[in-house]
Amino acid sequence: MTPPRWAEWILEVSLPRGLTRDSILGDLEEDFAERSAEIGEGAARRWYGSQAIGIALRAGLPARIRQIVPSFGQTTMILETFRSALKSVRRAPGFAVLTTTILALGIGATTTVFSLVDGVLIRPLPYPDSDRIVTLSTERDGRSLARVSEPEFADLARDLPAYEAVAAVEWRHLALGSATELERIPTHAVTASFPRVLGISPEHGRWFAPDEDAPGAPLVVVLSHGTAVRLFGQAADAVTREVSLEEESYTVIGVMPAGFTFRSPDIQAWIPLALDPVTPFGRNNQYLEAIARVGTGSSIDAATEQLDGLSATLTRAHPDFYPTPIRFTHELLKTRLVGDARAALLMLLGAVGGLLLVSGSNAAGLFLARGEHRKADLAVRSALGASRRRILGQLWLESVVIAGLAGTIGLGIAQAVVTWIVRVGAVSVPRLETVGVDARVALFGLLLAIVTGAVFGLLPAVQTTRTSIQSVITSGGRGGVGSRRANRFRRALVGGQIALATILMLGASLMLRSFESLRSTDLGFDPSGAVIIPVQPTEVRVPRNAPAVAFYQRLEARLADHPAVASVGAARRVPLRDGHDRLSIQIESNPVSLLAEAPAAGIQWATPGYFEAARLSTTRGRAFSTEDGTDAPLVAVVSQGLADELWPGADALGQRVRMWPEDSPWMEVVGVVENVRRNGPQSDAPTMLYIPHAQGLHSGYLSPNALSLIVRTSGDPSIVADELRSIVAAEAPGVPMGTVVTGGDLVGGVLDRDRFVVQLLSAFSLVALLLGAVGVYGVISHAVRARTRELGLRVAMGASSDQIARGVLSEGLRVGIIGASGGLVAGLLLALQLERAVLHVDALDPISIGVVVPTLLLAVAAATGLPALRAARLDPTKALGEHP
Amino acid sequence: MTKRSFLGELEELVLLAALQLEGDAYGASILRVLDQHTGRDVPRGSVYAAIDRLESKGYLSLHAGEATPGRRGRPRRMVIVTQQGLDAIRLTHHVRDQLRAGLEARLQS
Repeated sequence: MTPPRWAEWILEVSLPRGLTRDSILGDLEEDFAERSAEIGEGAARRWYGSQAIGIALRAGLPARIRQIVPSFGQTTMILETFRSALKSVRRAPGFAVLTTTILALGIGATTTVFSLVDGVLIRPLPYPDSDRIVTLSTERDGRSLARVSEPEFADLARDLPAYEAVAAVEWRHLALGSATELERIPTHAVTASFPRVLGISPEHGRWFAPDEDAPGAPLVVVLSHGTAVRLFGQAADAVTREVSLEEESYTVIGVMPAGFTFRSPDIQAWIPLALDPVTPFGRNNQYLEAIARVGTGSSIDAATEQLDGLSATLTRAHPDFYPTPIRFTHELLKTRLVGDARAALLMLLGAVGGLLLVSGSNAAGLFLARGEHRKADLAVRSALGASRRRILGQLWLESVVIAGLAGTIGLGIAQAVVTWIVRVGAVSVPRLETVGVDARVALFGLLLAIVTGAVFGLLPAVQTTRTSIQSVITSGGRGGVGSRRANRFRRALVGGQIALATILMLGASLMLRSFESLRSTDLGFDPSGAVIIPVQPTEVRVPRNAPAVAFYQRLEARLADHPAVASVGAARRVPLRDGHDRLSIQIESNPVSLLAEAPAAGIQWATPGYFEAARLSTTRGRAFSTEDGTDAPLVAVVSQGLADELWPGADALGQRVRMWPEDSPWMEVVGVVENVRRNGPQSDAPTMLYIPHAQGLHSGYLSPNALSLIVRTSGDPSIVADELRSIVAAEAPGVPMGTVVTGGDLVGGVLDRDRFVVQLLSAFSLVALLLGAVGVYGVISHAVRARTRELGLRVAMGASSDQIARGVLSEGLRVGIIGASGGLVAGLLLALQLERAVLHVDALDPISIGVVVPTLLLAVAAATGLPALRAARLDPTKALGEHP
Repeated sequence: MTKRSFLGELEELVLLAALQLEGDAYGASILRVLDQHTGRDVPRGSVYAAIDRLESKGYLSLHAGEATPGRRGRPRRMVIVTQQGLDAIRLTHHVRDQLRAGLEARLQS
């Protein structure tokens, strides 16, 4: 019979040590014993908890504040101080607005980036014990592939006791719907073990049993909540109903909970993968994603050890498939999902931290200036008996009040920006759907604001209250006369801001240059100016091979009739959007007997028009023509990379290649085309073998029935996109189509994240530059004001206004140059660190340095210009005769 | 504390409860008396805050009392109403009486 530990802890933390705390704990203990006897222990514990929270808020908090700031003798006094802080903020609205704006910018930006980092990197995945879920990869010859083959999956599922469950996943786009209305829905074909790995279960109905996950079993499907509601009105109603997938009838046996996602929120259904254990696909055909859950009695390390053991065993057992050792590896699912977004997000976090420092120290400069302005007033209060502590407390509280206000505004900014980012998907980061400004992020933002206000408000408060009353009184009680120490402090603050701004600008300009270099990278093809229409018929509607060939010839001819169409072609996989099939091939000039030793290439089935429509230029020989029909001699086109790999130093034209197995017919290479960076400018171009779609049924296993049409138009492709789509729809009724995009969208989409990072960094660095300039302006104009008499004297003694202005200008530039040099050194050191991870240009990029340094100095000069001008126009009679 | 301030409602009640309890006034006993007379659960935190406030105004003095076994060795914080505290109650009641003058008939329940 003891009170809840957490509640006691709350009291221990919130109440000041000593009699107060002990006696309150004792009182509670007394009543707790009594209540336990009356109402039972559970109720008494709940009572205790609620009492503890109430006491912490009502008595603990005020007592704590009194303890931290002992001169605040009474609660009323705190309120009074708070009120007078508010009043003095209201009395100087310009100062308050400026400081609040500056802090709100820093806090808003930081909170925005934090919410991204929190949602993507920090939050656990939405599965129970998600830190036990791993994804599997294979590694061979230093190359890692996040896929396994069917026999490898069977080995992993059987021989790894450390895993509680192993599941395989394959992405499919299935045609859903009736004969008249078909649509392609993203689907996962998974093993029956899938929910055990993720630790989830359907909301309604059930998941499929192992015997349903087998070839020939009755067809069953589990729907996503959204899809079930869309099709049947209510999720619960979907169970036991029938849906048509690929024009076959599936029974709905379950519906997943709303909000459940794995890998992509777009997945609408899960069907059994139904692997064939008797005659699996080849061991070298690695196409399955594999995930596993490490058992509670085991550990990731133990699983790693077992994986290494299995790798060695399999390498020994299958020398035909693994002539070089294979290695199975695993990593946390979250790490894999987050992928390379991590580096980008952490860089943004670093940058925004810099911005926060700039805005905080800028505000500190303003607090200091305001403090000096009020020195006379403060001295009077001090003479009337207010202790230094009391005054310091008030100044400090003022900065916290302003920071709190700024935090609230900053949160509003963050909320707006984050909502926008998520809604328009401004950045392609994984898990974007989990990003948002929630209570956790809001708490972070407010705490950040208060800490910022406390940290950057304390030094100015100390500095302001340091000067003795006498010095203020003897100086004639004028406001605005800074002590030397205060001036030094302000200069250091501004120098620091300039240094940070330099670092941020340097980073932003390096990223911008890096981005430009990526953007101008030749992809090997140019889809901009083309419309891409994915056509995905079912096998029933348009069978593969001859019917598919005729189907696409007809579609291409119809599209070519449109006046806006310049050229039209079709291919199996669209670069930048689709992955590609990498298959083993044989070459006549260098035959091998083992499949594992055979070269492999990406296979692309393409119609003759594809090369022209995708602007994929031929470097040797020719592209396909309409002559290369189904019954014509079999031909192929290779990428430059494949030609160099297979026939180094020899001419690729006239060479012969074929697919496995050995009875496949030979194809003659008739052309060589540019390498295509299929996965974007950051990645290398895979080697490719192009097969005419019309000949695929003879030489390339099949002529696929799902191709993407690439239609190059004479004008803006987005204008005619809808029109072209309806031509296809009219020509092929009931045939589902994927999302129609323009080539420009594809190219833009690949660099989406880099663009986002660059834009954000640029915005941050511009704000930092602006704040730095404002800081310089503040310091210099303050110095000019403080030296009005001295400057006036110099003018009276015959100094020209040029000399005066030059003097002031050089003072500002000195601060600027010192700050900028420091920032430049630090920035370049940082850039050298980042060079390999994120930059695609030299860290010591002369153009970046050449732009950043002059821009900064120009900004500093401009910020100094105004006070310099004011100093130059000084009227000596006024300056000497009056107190400013 | 030269400034004379009026008592808040809860402050007044706490002072009166402490007087009722004579030598046995401490947090828990004051709470019990208040609960009994008001017929509701007075928020504990507010009572402790009021005790702190009254002490800093000089209306109460606090000292450590005995630590009974039911309190796991934690001492009571005994409360004694000071002369200023008594004055404050009197002032509050005086003001109240003046304000009530002539309203007896209407305030009679």
